[in-house]
Amino acid sequence: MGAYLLRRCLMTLPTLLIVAVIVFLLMRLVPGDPVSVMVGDMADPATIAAITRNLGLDQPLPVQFLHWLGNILTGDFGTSITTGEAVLPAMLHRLGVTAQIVLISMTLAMLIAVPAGMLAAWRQNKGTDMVITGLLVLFISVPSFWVGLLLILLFGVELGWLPTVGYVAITDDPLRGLLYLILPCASLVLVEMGVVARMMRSGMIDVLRLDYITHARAKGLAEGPVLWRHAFPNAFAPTLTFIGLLLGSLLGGAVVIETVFTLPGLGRFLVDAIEARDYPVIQGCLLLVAMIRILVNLAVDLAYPLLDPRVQL
Amino acid sequence: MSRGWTRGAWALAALAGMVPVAAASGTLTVALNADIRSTEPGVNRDTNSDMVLAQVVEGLVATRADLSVAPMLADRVDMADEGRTYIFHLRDGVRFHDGRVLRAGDVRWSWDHWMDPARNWTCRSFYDGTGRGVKVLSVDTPDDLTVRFTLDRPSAVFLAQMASTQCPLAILSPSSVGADGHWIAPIGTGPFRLGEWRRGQYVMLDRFDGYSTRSDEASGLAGAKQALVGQVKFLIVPDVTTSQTALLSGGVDIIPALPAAAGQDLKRFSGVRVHEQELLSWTVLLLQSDDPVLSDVRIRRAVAHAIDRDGIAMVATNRLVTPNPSAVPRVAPQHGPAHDEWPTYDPEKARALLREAGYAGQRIVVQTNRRFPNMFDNAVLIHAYLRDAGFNADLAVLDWASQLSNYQKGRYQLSSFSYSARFDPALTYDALIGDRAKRATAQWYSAQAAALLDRANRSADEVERQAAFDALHHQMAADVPIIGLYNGVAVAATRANVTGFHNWAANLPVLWGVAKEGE
Repeated sequence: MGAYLLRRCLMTLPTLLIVAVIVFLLMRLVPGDPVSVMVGDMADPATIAAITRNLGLDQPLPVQFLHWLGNILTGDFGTSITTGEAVLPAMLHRLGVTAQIVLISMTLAMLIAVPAGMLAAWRQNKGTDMVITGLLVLFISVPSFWVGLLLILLFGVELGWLPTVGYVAITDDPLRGLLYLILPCASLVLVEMGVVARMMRSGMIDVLRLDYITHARAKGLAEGPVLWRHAFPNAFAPTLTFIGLLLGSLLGGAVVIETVFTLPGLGRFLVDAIEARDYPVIQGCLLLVAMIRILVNLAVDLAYPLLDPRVQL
Repeated sequence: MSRGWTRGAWALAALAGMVPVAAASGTLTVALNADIRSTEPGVNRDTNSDMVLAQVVEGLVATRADLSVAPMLADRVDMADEGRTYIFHLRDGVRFHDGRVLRAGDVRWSWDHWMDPARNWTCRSFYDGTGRGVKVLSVDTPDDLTVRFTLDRPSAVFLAQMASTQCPLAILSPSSVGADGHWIAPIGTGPFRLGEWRRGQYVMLDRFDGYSTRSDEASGLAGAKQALVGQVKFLIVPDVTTSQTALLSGGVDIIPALPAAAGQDLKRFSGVRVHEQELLSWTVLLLQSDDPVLSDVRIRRAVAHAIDRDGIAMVATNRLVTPNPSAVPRVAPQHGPAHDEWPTYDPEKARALLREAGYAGQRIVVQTNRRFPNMFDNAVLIHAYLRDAGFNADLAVLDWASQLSNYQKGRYQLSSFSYSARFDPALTYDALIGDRAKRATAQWYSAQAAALLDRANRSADEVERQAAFDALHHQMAADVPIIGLYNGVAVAATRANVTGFHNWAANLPVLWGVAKEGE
């Protein structure tokens, strides 16, 4: 296990380097630059040239890249061209906001979706299955921003129970912080729950048809142990992989939810940076997103042996 | 089950009661569609940054709602040496947010601060002779309350430029920067001071109790300023629909910028007031006259005849404004009937001109973006009009940064664009007229136009300036270096209990004089 972990960690280094090179080059190839956005239609060529020089953007690309990479290696992700804030703490702060929403939502979605998917599979083609499957299809079909807006209209405007805009960090005020999290988390839960439960149902149906399940039932085991002890671990493995992918993707920024609910998360930070061509922020965020995905995949891989002892790392 | 739901609902309601959903007493919450870019006026800016900082900093002069320039921190301004010298007599007793009293030395410090090349101030070239403006030869402080600017030549737009909202010559306390010169925060003299900026969330301004107000009538950014609320919270709400629902629920009190259609939507609600204001900004179709096809004036005139500007203005602004082909804004005093002259909408004439010019169906691309809905709408309509008149036109939808970069490098054929507000028509013409070889953003290279602009820039005689502007537009209608569509329109919405709110032509709503009834 230790050797595997070390090997996987070492493998991340070339991956991150490739990501760094691609991200750096892509951003320079895309038309538009931070100085253009900064000065708009006001400045003349002399001013643009002076600002470009002051920001070091007149240097040859290899020099800029090596300078950036050298700083990254010392833990300095640079300073945002747009806001002037240090990139690393800003990214971590934004990641914290996104992680709160995503982790709470995914936990809730799993707690609801996994049993629901199992129940639907167990009662396949019966009334219960049809009701659950129907609801899941509905949840999958509805875009998260629309769910979000409906929730805002109902709980924020009509009932006036929950705040419609703004964000309060849980660390600043736990009670108010939770209130501000309810609607975005509910939107994400509804949408993600549908996908996870569909995955779980499908995996469970396959496993319930296998001989060892028939054998367990023939031994006289009750349905509870058959489902949870024998069927669940095998059926959950593909769902876990899917959850890992979903988690990695959402931690990289739930842009739509962050925009609708005015959350200062990583996704909005990255999108704003792309619009402003804020190179240090874009490069830093994409490296962080790559790192998150690698770590989540690693965590999923490490969890496999817990579910299926046949898997050896 | 139903009892559980009811209990849950009560629990939520109780929680909600503990946290007021509406803004706290004494706090005016204003929705911004994006975060401000920085707190340094005129350095790294956009409209939102300008709006926030206009409440915090002031200059020696400021612009009134009628676009005239009025003294602000100056008590009065004298001109001498045939317009080459400006003497600003400062108001006594004005305090900065750090408690220091404003002195002439602070004006001199602010001048040096902005003119330092390391500060990246976007308007430095207007004052140092490297750009198209004047060269300030010296800034002297004969005494504590007098500052004298000496220019290399007379300029009719010197004060207007000083009062610009995009890069005002803001007078700051030296404590705005650290010992090593790094920017900390604007310590200005405005009626609000910067409280907290939580990036991506909000900017909080606190009322400045030590504010020394003028006694003349409030107008634009000039005159008396009285902060009637304890705090102003600029809340970042990127999504239009979310900001609308927040306005209805009381989460925000003011939305200063809405698409025209969204404003129309909000008029249905009794608890909301919608405010509409025609602006100085100018929405245009840029023409690349260096382009092999568009270099022919007959083709450019064909483009002008092909486009129904009335239709475009009606659709893009929900009938809120009428077209304006002139660089002189309709709200400016210099705008008269002479500025309505333009090739009429006549697709037949456009086709005839194309035939005469030997147009052989060469592809013409209209660039636009989706960030600004009106630019997109304009481009879609223009594309349709051009095809109808026989042009082989295509539409290219870019992101804003790409389109802006193309504008600055001259990489376009046609571009749906908008010029930001300039307080004097000469400043708008200044952005248009020039040699593309030296400045790719210039639209119009004409020696005659340059001479007329020079006259408008130098002369202090309003009659002479008016004649120059009229002549400039007459020549523009003949040359068609650009197609003016309409001046922008600002649509704002406030909750019904908000009083005193109004916008003005610069699209910079002021928050002094604004209160919330019942608080």
